Amino acid sequence: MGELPAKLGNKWNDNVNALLEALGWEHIGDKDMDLPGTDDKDHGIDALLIYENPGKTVCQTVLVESKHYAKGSLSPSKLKEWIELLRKKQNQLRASSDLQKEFPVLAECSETNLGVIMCWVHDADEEYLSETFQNYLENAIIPSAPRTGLYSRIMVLDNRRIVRLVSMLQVLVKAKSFCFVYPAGINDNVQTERSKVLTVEYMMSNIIIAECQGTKEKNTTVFYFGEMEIPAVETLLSFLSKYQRLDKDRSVKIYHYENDEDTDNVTKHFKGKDYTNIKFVRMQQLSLNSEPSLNLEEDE
Amino acid sequence: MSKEEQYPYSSEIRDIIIDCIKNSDLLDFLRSKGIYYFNASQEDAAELTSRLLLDGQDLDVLRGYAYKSTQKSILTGFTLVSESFFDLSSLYNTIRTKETLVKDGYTLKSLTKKGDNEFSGEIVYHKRRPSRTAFLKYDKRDISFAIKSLSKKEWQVEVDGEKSSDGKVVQQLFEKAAEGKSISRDELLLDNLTTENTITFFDELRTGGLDKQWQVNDILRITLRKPVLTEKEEEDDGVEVADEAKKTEEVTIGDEHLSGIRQAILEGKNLRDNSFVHSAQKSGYIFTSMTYLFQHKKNGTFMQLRAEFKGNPKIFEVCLEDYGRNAEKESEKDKESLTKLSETENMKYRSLFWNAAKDIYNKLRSKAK
Repeated sequence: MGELPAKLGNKWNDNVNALLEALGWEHIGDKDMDLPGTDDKDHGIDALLIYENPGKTVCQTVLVESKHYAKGSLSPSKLKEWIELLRKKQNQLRASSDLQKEFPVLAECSETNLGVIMCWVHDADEEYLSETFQNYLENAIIPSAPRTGLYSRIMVLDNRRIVRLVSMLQVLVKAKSFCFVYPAGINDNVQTERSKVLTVEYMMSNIIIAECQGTKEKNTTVFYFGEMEIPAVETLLSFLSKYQRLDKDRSVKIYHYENDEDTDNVTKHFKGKDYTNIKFVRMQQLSLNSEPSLNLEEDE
Repeated sequence: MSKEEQYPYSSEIRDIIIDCIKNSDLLDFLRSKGIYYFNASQEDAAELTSRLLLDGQDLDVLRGYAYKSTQKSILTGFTLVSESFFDLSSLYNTIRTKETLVKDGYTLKSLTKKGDNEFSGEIVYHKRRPSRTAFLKYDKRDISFAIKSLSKKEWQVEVDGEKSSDGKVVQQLFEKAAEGKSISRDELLLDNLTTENTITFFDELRTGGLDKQWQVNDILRITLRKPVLTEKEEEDDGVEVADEAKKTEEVTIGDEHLSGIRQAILEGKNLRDNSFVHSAQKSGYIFTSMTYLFQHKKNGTFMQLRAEFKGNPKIFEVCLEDYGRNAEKESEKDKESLTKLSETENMKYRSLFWNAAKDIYNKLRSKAK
């Protein structure tokens, strides 16, 4: 594993695409391009990506906007404006024949019903994100147009979620190979599936299940971004048991992002007992105000 | 999460969202995660949400929303009367530590003194819901109560719970405590009032439910019931149908008649003089509930109180549905206004109202005798 190079400057859009590609999403066309809509107008979009959706027969199309902002330039109305604008683009690009002509692969993908806003607030700290920005997120109420039967989704990821994903990738790239696990019963799948792709649902979750090929054996690897309190960890273990991720003959590594002085007491609580094969591992907490490096290639 | 309370399957989460969680609460939850749905039906939103891998905190939030949608504070009460002297507070203290109660999941907290022969206490229990998924199998109920000695042989119990059935739980516990003491129970029962008296009852609550600083500005809802004969009942003449709901027809008064009643009230007229009320009474309808909008004469604070005879038999209960400053009534924050009222104050107003109702009820009954 090589040194992770220094910041990639303010090429935030490149950075975002590198992250999403590392998570198994496929970039289509250029970055920052104009896409033809059904209204005969062009709609600028930072990136167009698709990914294979476990349990689904068609790939998911994603419109991605990358935002690199300072705290001072952000406001509740700014966030609302981004969401509303992206939603308009989703609607105008939905079923656009010109868009499909330009990218024939989209004919075999979902409609443009998913948008992702990757927002990096470069001077933010934990307090700003968990209070001010969190408040913006919670109050971004966008009036909904009359129901058409076609729903769409927009996800906003800020520094907090972005650094967690990067920290997770830093663990995964150390393995010989890895995949994400979609147990039967989650999504629409009737059987457990494994995929290189991290779906948007996983991306927005505090629990992510993966499998890593070590030098000798395969490990179940769980990334956990939730609270490290005994009841919360009990819930996590109950989840893993329910979805049959706990196995007497296979080790389970639980990588947890939250770690402070009390974390050891919590992990000690679960040592031995019914969970002989579980190992808790601390994840590296990344700085919230320096852009995480996304060059994750191994150079061994 | 105890072993019995296992992690729910995503299909269970979806069903709970559809059945028990308000759409606006679900959207609040999703927004807090940076997730925005557009044009999604409740089913779509539930389906999409159930695909997230929710952690313990998320489940707690959703569980809270699921309970919230059915949670209201309801005040009801009863009086226990004996031929001889009895002390309800010491009877309560003797059953507090009974093993059978603890085994059944009841926690009876200690009494605190509020005044001379006046105490308050709390009972916590887990109500098992057999038809629910494991996620919502145990509904934790906190019931507050206040007991007051009216005389050496008479104690009044006020119960503040989330559901009408909570009153019954406390009632059964106290009766168990007083077993063998030949104690009888007195309640505010709809069956004990004549049709005409129910109208007078609700009418007098309008003017005498709270102190003179409060006046009724509006009547928001009126429910009437009419006993009807079901086909089955007609066939098996003389056989009583156990289910009360089968025997009655419940009607909420429509806007047209309600506005007539409102107008009459604002003009200071009596309810029973209203022509609609008059004809409803003639057709055999009985008033079972009324929701009043009270306003404080000086500071403009409003309070929305629902007075209702509920359950089988129909027992009187009071629910404070909304409270706030007048200006806030119109604002988006309206839904939060109830939270500004402390629990003690909330109970205080409902208790005042319930006690006024009790006086009116007793007066009407003694007149009827």
